[in-house]
Amino acid sequence: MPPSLTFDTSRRNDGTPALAAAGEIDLSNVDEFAQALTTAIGAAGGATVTVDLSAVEYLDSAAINCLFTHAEHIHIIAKPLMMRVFAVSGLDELTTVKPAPPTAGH
Amino acid sequence: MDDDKGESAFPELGRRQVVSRMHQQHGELRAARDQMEQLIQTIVEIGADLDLDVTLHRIVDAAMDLTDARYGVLAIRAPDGTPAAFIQAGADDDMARRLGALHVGDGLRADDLRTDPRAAELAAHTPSLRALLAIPITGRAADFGTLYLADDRKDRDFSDSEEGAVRALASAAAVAIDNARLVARERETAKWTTASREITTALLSSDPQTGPLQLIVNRALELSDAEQAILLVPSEPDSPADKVDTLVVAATAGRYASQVIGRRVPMDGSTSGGVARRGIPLITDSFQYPIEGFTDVGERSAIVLPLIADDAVLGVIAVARNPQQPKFSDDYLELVSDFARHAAIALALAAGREHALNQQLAQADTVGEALQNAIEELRRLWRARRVLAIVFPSSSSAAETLTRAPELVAGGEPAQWDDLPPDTRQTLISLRDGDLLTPTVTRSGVAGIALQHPEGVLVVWIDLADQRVFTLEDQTLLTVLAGRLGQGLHRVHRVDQQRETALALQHAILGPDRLPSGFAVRYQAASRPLQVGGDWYDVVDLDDGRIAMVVGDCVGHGLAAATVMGQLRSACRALLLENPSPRAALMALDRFAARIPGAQCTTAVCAVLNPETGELVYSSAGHPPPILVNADGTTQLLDDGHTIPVGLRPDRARPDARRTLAPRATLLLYTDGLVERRRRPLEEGISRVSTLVQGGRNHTLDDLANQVMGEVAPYGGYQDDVVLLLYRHPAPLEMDFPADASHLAHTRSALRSWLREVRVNAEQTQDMLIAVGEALANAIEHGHRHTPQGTVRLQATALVDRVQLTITDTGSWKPPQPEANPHRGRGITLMRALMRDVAIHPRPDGTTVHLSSRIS
Repeated sequence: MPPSLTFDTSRRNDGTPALAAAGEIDLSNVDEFAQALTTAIGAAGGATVTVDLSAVEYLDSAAINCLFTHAEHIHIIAKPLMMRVFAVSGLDELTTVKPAPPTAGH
Repeated sequence: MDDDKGESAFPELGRRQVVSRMHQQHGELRAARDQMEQLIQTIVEIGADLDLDVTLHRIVDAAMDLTDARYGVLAIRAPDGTPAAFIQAGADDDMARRLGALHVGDGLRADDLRTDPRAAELAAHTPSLRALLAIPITGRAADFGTLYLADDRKDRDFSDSEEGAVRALASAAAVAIDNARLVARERETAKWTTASREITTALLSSDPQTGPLQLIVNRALELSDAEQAILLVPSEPDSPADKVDTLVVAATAGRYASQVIGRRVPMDGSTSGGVARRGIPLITDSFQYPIEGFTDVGERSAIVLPLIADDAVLGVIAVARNPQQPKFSDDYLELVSDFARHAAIALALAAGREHALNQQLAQADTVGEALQNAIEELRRLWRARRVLAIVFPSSSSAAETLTRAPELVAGGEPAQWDDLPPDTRQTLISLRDGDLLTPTVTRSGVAGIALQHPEGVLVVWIDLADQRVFTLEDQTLLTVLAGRLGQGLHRVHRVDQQRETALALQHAILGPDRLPSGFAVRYQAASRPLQVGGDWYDVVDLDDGRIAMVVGDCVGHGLAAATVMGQLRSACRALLLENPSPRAALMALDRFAARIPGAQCTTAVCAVLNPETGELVYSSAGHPPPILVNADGTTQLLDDGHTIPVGLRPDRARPDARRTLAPRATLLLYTDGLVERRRRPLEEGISRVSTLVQGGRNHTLDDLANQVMGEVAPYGGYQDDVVLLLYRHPAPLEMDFPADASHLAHTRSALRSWLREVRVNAEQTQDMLIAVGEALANAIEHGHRHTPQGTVRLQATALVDRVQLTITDTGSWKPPQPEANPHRGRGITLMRALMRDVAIHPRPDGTTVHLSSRIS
């Protein structure tokens, strides 16, 4: 049973490029996540992409490694529960990681 | 003789004289010829018969016939020169003794004793005697005695030819006596050897009729044709040889037996003590220390022998002949020493070291163990360099033996069948194919024997060190021991089989020995060696995913209670599968038990648990209440839903009760054996056990079970059957899955649900999911890079205040250094940051990661 993972590349309300993911990211589908991230950054033409993980229930170090790779091109929004992981990994030192408002999840 | 040639012998004599002398000579010559014929006949007869006594009588008779003497005496001398016995004809004892006292040198011939100074004393006492011819019987430089011929008739004298004939007869007699003595000695040896074997066999038989010491003195007395035999042993049998200071007479046979038994003799300054100290036998007629009832009965020849086995002196045998009997000769020592040596070995085996072989066999639970012990014992007994035991299965042929090595047990230097020299292997195989219990000595110091083994034929192979010889007696002993070993192995095998059968049946009665996770059980039967009693427990997986638990207690214990218990347990299990309701099951059990003698008054508690929600439905039939201890330490007795024991009122309705087990609560079901103590109220026992469970609620179930059983065990062990069944909610999570990333999501989802049952909050759940996810990813990515078929196991256990998570894989990986590998290093860093304790144990057959975190 592969975990469900979906992407949405709609621009944000302010028109900036974005990549929204929903579901769980682990070793089995991290390549899809990496692919989507690379594509979104390429399409943004140098603009910072907002990676919205507020609907991501689980992510592991493989996903964090992807985010590290593109740290200078992205902003991150994630569930408050995930903040600890970004802090521990040190990712929040290289990019902005903001908690999603409580209603943003489900 | 030729008459014609006689003429020329007397040329100077006158004709008349010649004729007269010729007549005389003719008579003499004829007599001489007859004598020679008689002599030859006698010698032939002597040679033909080997009994010494008959031979000696013939010699005397022949000598008297040849010489026409009136008295004949043959005095036999012992090897030390003293007169040992007389064979006489015509003469009385007095004459025989006086003749025997005469020193004859190379021979003595006197026409009239009264005028011969050499026989003055003899003549004084036997004035009637006139002529005497005394010829020594000598041969091989030994003095066997003297042959005396005497006459009291006037003008009777012994001629030269008669002397010559008697000398010939004496030397032939010497050879005959020598031969007869050799044969007698051979027979004696055989007698002693037989006795040695008899002693060995008798002492090693499982039920000797006579005590071993008594057996030894009896045989020693009988065989040495003695008057009295005594056996002395150290007064304190267990003290080391050099610490023994007194010997005590432990067994006696023959005369004065009742006077001498129990007499004590000091080691120092006594003849027996000296023999015991030096371990060397001796012949004596004067003991240095008086033994009442032995040394005070007059001077007599005695032989004193040490009983030595394993370099230790076990005792001393003293055998005495009466003064009229022949004295013991030195060559007798050798004979009796051999007997004593075997008696001692048998004694050491039988009495000392308490039947070591039997004991080894009796102590063993399995045939293999018995064999190993026996081999060590044989090795010790012979002080062998190596003893091998090879088990050839009954079906195996020589060809099979070559392809498949038989089981080999080695004592001493280790050995493998394949490493044995080919000729040794061949010898062992031929021993297997030969007669059983027949020792074979192939070369010096090596002996083998085949015997029955429960699975075929056993060959025992003894290799002595230092080129020692494997004597005939050793072979006898080996035969006896091999026989006993065979019987012993058979007995162990039978008992082993019976016990296995009994245990299998008992365990079948008792119930599941593997329980679902989350449970721990302890069972102890009061009646040893039974492993079941009247108590029972059961845990049944029901079709709807729920789990039924039963603990019951039939009246009494032992086999009778166990058989009733077995029926009730099976019935209850079937009833629960049919209708998963505790009260319904117990009501049906009421009807069932009413029909089984001995089943009434059984108490039981029956509960059905929903493992996901912790919902518990239970009903009790006169049983002590289950104990529930919550994570916070609050304790409750589940004493609702309670009514009378089973089988008393078959139609009466039974109640049930409900309770929801809170996360991390511990439930204890038990029987009264755990809590009931003489002269103590039951409540006290229940309260004590409750306190123990409360105190141990943060321990693993297994530890808790051991703790409770150990703490409340009465002094001297449980007197009643005891059941203790523990459950902790929720049961640990256990998952095995292939080492593949596609299984991660499912595992995560199961762990998330389980953590919800444990009531872990969302934030901690998230931390644990990520930490476990990293450990699982490591296991999949690194642990199984080279073994794609590997599996990964996840175990999660909830304790009162923490969760333990264990991830095990079958591959090998080392915790990477974060600097060397930032990618993986990040995973490890996450684990360490998110969990309180992280331990990674890489082993050649797999890696285990232990994670644990407190829960709030």
